[in-house]
Amino acid sequence: MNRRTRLALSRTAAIVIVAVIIIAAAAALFLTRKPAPTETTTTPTTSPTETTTTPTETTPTETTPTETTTTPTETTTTPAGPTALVIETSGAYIVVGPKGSAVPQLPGGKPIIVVAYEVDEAKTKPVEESVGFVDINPAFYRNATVDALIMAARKATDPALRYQLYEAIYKLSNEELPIFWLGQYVLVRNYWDWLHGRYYHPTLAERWDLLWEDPDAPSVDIGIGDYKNDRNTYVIVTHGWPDTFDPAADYETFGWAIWHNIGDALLTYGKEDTEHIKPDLTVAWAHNEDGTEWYFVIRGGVKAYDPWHDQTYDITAVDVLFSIWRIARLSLDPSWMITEFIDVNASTVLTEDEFNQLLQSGALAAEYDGTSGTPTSLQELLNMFGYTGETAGVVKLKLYYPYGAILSILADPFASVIPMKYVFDYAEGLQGKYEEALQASNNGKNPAAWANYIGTGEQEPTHLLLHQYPVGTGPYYVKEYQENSYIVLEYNPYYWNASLWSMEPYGENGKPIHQRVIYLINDDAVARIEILKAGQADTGAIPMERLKDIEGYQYPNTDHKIVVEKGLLEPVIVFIIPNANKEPFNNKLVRQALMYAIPFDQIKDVVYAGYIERLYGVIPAGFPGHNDDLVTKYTFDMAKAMQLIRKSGIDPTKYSFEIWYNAGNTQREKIATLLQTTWGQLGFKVTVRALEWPVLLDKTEKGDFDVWIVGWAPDYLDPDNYAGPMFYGGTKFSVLEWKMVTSVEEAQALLSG
Amino acid sequence: MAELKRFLIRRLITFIPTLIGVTFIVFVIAAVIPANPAKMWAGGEKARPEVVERIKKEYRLEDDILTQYYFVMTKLLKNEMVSPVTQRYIWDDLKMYFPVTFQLTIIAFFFIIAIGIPLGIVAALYRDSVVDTAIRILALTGVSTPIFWLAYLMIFLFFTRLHWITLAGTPTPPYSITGIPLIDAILKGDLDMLSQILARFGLPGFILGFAGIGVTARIVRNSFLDSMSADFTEYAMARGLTKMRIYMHVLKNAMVPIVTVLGLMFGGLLGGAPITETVFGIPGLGRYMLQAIRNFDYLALVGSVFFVALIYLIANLIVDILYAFIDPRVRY
Repeated sequence: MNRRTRLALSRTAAIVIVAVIIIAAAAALFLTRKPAPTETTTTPTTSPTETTTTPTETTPTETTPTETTTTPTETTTTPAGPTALVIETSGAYIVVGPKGSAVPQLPGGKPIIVVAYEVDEAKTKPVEESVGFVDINPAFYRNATVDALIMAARKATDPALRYQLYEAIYKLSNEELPIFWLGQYVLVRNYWDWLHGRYYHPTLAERWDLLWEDPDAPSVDIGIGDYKNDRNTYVIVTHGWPDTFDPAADYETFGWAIWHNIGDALLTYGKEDTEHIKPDLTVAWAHNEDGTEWYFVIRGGVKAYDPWHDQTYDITAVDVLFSIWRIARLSLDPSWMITEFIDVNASTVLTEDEFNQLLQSGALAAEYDGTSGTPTSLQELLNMFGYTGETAGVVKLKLYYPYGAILSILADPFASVIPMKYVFDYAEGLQGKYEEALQASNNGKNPAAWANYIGTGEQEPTHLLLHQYPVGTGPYYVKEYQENSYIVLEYNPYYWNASLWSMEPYGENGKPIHQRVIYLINDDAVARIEILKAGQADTGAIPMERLKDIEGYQYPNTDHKIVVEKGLLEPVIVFIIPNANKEPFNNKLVRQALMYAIPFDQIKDVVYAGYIERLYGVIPAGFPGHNDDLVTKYTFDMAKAMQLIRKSGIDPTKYSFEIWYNAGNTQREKIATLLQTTWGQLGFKVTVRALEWPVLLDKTEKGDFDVWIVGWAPDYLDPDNYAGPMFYGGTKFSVLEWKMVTSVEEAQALLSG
Repeated sequence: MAELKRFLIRRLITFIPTLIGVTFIVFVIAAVIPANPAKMWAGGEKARPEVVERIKKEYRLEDDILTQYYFVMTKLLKNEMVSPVTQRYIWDDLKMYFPVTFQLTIIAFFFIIAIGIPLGIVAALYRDSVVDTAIRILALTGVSTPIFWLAYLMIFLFFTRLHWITLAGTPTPPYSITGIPLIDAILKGDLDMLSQILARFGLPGFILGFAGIGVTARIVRNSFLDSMSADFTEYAMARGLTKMRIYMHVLKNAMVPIVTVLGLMFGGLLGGAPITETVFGIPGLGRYMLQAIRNFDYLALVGSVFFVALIYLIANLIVDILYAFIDPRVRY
């Protein structure tokens, strides 16, 4: 090329580039001016059948239609005036209705739980303005009776009463079918048989120091530095990457698994136990009578280890309050679990003496390990919890309203405690201000003062610090990591509970058997399988359909094999959401018909390789309230489905709708295709469509959809974390009372008064 | 030299519209998607409206496209833009992933040159013979073999069977001279580290270079043949020069198109190799961009596109400058 042609070329190139920019700019202008057609809001079609589910029907008369269709257990209704709905559960009759409704005759033999309510029409958001999963369930289904039960169960503190209420909620979710409950995942995992002690908890990962390996576990080079996968190293080959190492910002399982191992929250659960919450950084707790103030005595002698600068920090009540306050202040992804229930600025730190005085007034109650009481001194409280060591102050958390699941939330890894001084030592702009901040808050008496130091959002300096350099109090610390490649955790020599490691089989001489934990990241399933088979990893994330390829695979020259273990049910559920605010899904009979037309057995085999079990209501197995003896089991039955369609009086051929799923999710794609066939056989015109995840989220949260498929994993261990997001219709109440009574007269008195 | 300086300035100026154009196109495509990524970034269906609102404000997702573009680009250039997904400064992310890709590129390029050029010359020398045909078939296979398939085959052979390679981690020496572990290890003469790096990067490098080997061999062959039939070769033969000396002349004259292709190839490889990086679990630029697309993290995407475009332009510029050294007739 000579110079002239080159010049000419670069000139043409420049012209082309300029042209492209102009075109792009024009396109951009065009796009910004003209709103995209997808943004037009769909006005819900009104029809005679639809009005029965709109908010206008949350009047006392509304309960009648629901009532007449409930299960056979229900007794005949009194003809005059509204009648309360009666639901028989395993241990009670639940009578729920608006104030002024009548209680029908009951056969007796069980206690009666009355829930009386009055709807606050002014505060209740219209269904059309509500946001799915947030103000209202994703199906946009509203039923004041259901909502009253859910709110009562949320605020009740008596576990026995809550249990019965959740059974009633489960039963209603099965009958009303706002959502087509589909299935609950079956836990399946694989590991080399030299690994022992594996356990399973629905929300918390395993603690790696509680697992151990056979002495003859092979030692295999893994190709990162000198690290080997031997008896003292636990290696997991997996994919993805934790969203962040900052606990206050983390809202996904990978990051929670790391923090469960490098940090401690106030409370925890012992291995697979889901019923008894255990002390972690707190050693004892108590609450005021109505459950709106909770007091936690903090464990003494706990140190956080900062591996990045090789130093330790003492943990006191101030650090605990700071950590919880900071979650709320940052307002990042998991913050709602704090801000929704806890008024962090009204929470405070107390000294042991102050707390002791409070206890002496006899106003605080405590429950632990099957015992309950009103201890009148700190010593008495500690005795009740069986704790004899030193303490490091007391934290008082102020709740907006009593919430039964608050302890479960405080056991989540996102609520792990970080040392306050660490962020003031190293976060940009905060260096040297620790004493100042401590004094400004009057040693934690007034946490609101920290707002002058700690900001909000993703760019906040303490978040950016912890995002990369986590520091916690747990059995391990993050030794090194390379993003999207590997993470190495090393046992924490300053761990407060290191005596555990002098016990068989967890450790020897104060060191855990698993002195080191390594996560190997590889996004390719084939490569992960090969790494596991080579013995470079002890366990791995392997796709369900590939498990048969590794099961029983033998390690060369040993007796060791890869185990594939099918275990309990996981708390992860998958379901199909119809738009219950839209024809034809606003008709309960149609919803029931469609539920009968779900070919579950086929879905189980074709889509999930057998690793799923049927779910018939909102609460999965393993949670209080789940009781399949109470509910209708919608086994695949096309004849019954046809019959229900005829009974509903609609003409299915007049309806065409789309089933949506997020693009790339092959499991949901297969489910949608199977549904297309069976629902199509009922006469509906069904189309299947993949949408990009953000698009799907955007449309479904506004109620702009027909049917979509999604799943749910719990944020904390409580049935409210299912009933709330997936069944609550957003009704607000001006009056909501509940009580366990023994006679119909008492029940009537509560409902009338 | 003054001319070279003028040439450089002229070329550097043309960088600006190119970079703006490329990033703007990517930005517009991302912005056309009729959904708001804020909810996805905030945790999907579980996202709380207050978090979504904060993200919308923080990233100005509701401004018009031009304002948004200006906001994103200025923040990017000042390195004040934190990716909503990785929650790190985007340039820091690029700085972290680029050396990995660069290392992979060097190895791939090594294979391309070490295998592609000799094969091309051999094919030219034995034109239309069995050797030539074999090389032609190899070139065709190289271009048409799906990378992931070849990669799996090789993993099975070298990892599962022979245990020659590793599939995890990225070996990083404790010292840093250039920031590229491979080069550092060579400079330090650290054979242990070097073998670790080669065990991890050798095979992916070869797989990545495989397509390039065939292309290079073909170009070298044709270009070599062109020069062989040129007048100066005939003259050299007439002068009775030794074969070796004739080939040296021929090769030198054949270099211009070869350098062009190799230069562009190098620039292209530096842009990352999504498939190779994914299959081998190597955290490089290609994988980063793929992740950014998956997470609708268009901020990271625009940042990386800007970076890759810049690299490509620079590679192009270097090729142009190299012409002058290869061919003294070229003036700027």
